[in-house]
Amino acid sequence: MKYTFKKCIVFIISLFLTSFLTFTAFEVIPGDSALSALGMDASKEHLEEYRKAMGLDKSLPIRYINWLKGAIKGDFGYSSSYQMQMKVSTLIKNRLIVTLWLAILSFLIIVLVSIPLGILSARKKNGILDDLITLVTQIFMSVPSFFLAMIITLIFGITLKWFRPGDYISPEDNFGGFLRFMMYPAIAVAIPKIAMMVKFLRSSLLREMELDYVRTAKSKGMTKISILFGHILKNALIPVITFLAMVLADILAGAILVEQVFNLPGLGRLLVTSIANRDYAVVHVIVLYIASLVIIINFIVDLIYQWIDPRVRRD
Amino acid sequence: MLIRKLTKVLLLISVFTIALYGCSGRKEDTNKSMTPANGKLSFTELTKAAQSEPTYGGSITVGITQDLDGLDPHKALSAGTKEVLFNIFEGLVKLDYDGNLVPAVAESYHISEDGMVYTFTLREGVRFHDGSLVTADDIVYSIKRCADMLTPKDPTVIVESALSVISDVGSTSERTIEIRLKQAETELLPYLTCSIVPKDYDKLDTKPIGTGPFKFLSYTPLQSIVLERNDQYYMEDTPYLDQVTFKIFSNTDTAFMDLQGGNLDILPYITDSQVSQLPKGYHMESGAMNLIQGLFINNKVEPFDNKLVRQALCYAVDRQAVIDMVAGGRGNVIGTNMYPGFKKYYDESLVNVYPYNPEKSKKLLKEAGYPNGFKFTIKVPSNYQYHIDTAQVIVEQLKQVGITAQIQLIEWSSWKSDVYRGRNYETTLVGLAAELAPRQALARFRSYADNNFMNYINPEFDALYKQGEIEGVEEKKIQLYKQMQAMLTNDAVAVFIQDPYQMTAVSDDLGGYTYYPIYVQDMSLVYYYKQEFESD
Repeated sequence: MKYTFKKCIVFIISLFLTSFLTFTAFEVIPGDSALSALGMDASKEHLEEYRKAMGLDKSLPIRYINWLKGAIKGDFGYSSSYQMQMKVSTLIKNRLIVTLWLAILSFLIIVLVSIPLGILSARKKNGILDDLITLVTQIFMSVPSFFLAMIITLIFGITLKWFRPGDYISPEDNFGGFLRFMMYPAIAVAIPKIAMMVKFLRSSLLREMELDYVRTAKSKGMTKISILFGHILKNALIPVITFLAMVLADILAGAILVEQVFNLPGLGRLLVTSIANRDYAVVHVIVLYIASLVIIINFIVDLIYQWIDPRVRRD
Repeated sequence: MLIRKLTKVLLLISVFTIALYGCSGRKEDTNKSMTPANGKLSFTELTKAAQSEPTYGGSITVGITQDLDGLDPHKALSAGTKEVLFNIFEGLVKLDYDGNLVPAVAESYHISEDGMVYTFTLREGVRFHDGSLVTADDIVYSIKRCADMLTPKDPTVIVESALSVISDVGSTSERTIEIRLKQAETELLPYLTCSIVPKDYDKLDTKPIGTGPFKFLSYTPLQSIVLERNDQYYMEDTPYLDQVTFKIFSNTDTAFMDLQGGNLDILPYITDSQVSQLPKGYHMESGAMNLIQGLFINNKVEPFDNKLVRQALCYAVDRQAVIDMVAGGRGNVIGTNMYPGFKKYYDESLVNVYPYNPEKSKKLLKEAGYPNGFKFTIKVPSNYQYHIDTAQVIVEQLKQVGITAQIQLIEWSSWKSDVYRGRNYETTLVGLAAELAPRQALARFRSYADNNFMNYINPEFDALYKQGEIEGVEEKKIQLYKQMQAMLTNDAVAVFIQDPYQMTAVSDDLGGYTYYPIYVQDMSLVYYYKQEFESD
């Protein structure tokens, strides 16, 4: 209880810090949102009028407090790249669905593929199969996912015509078609992560296998499989979960390049265009979202640790 | 042991073969499509097509690479948005593909001799997309909104500064509108293309209503905007198509991939290398972009405050070679700051003022006191690959005369505030897009102009410009404009390079795709060919 409370305080302080830092970051980088909104030939008077109407003429602390007042009530203002006609929250909500589905799909693929492969690779240590897995993971680890996305589009989209490249189907129109289309970007995102996971899991398993308790279990007459699943895997998973959490946060923050290749209207694409347009309101919320995501996931990971490893609980 | 090593090697080879398959597959594709889709065949297809009749109906998908920045025509800023909204909205007058102003919502107009009063007569029976008739009140409201004459003011409306000469707009009868000016202005008409919208309609941002050939159907940010035929359009023979979908892509590469997948019918602004990769069933159409691409010089900083240095720079750049290298020869050399699309006003002879002549350039540099050349930076916006490529060629050319130029990439948003507004630069390589009126191309060179980012100061030019503002006789006006252009060229305010071509991939089934002197994707003229064309 005390632990959760402490975590919550840390969470809130981190959010404050991030929001303040993003706010000041925009003070530092060049570019003017009034100029972006009204055009480079806008007259000085109109620029002033615009700044006044949008509250951009006030000093940084005052603007920050004003923004904070709205943010606490859940009102993040309007997006300036859509001429202040679109609420930031609606804009982000719609993008978030795409990114969430991409994350869920690729995360499922990562877990379902990498854990069996890692176990297999560790069990058949130095066998042909292990060599094969190591080699392939080595290669895919070094291939960036946007490049894989291009290769996937080329092979499955243009050559085999299994899907139509760039032809995103929105989930409201056709949910099945949406899932089918999302499989390809999800695979592109998943493959390098799978490769890393397998390598990680394999070395973690091998490290555990060397330990004394395995020998004890063996001498007690347990079968290899029951040792593996009953003892080793549980211990080996602890570092892997940390890694998985990082992966999850990474995908949830938006796969910027993969979204570009598949023309997905996701969060990553929105972030890039918003930064280019100096659309402060949108960027703030996305950065806050990513920050809170990392914090929340870490929090959950801590809870999982406690559940798997009682030693952590006692500390 | 040996067997294991061997299998490793074999595996490695097979994996690389799979990885490389992608690349080789693409090359084959290109070669296959090179022959039928490009060159002669598409030309014969086109001539055949010209003979066959257009048909009505059908729907198409057009790829665009920029999200719309709003649906309200008076708030939209980006050229990419205006290009699309052109299909939904119209002004009193409208620009046609030759750059002429033709009556649209107005049936006719009259400009008083002193250039102080513009009178418009409304076309009868023009309706908004919701079915209501366009009234004089709507027009007065729309013009006032564009000219920033409404109270309370809406700070997000992009005010057209050229309309600030208007002193009053009012209707004199149900079908006539009178626009009175503060001072004589003979070139106001192009700005009266400003969109007519229903008075006090507050849903323009989400459900825009105009009078154009297409009605707004739906818009999803980052995905698409869908338009549908306006059956009540006053021009009876257009539009041809029932529905047009503009699909939004994050960049040209993904859009082109979608085209290769056969999902797009029209894709504007394709690159030179994409032209050679056009799949079967598409052809390329090209037209002048009406963009003044140039190496723009800050005339105030050393050593460019010396006219001889600027002229030396002009002589040192081989503009035709630039076009050949960067765009495969697709572009026209220009010699001054005027959009070639305004044919009457554009002085083509100025192209020959600075022929490529490195010897002369060196001589001028010596005269100016820089016998060993000098160093300077070219700021180029990082999102425009075309300009970056051009800058690279120019850097190489300048080496020949001993000038060392360095490219500095700058983010577009910073370019706007630092270079364009802040004038903090030595030289910059960009393109200046065409405006509605020819005089607008010259306006930025007035000593006192806010957007005179080249810091050109010449009282003679200012005087000529003032004369041009009130000159009513067309011939004299043209002469004045040409005089001003020559002044800019002789003073070498910038190294004017070219007017690049824009290239568009168009499906072989479609006809009527037309280029305009400004950024416009006019879908009302696009149609499907009759089917017998296929059987041939």
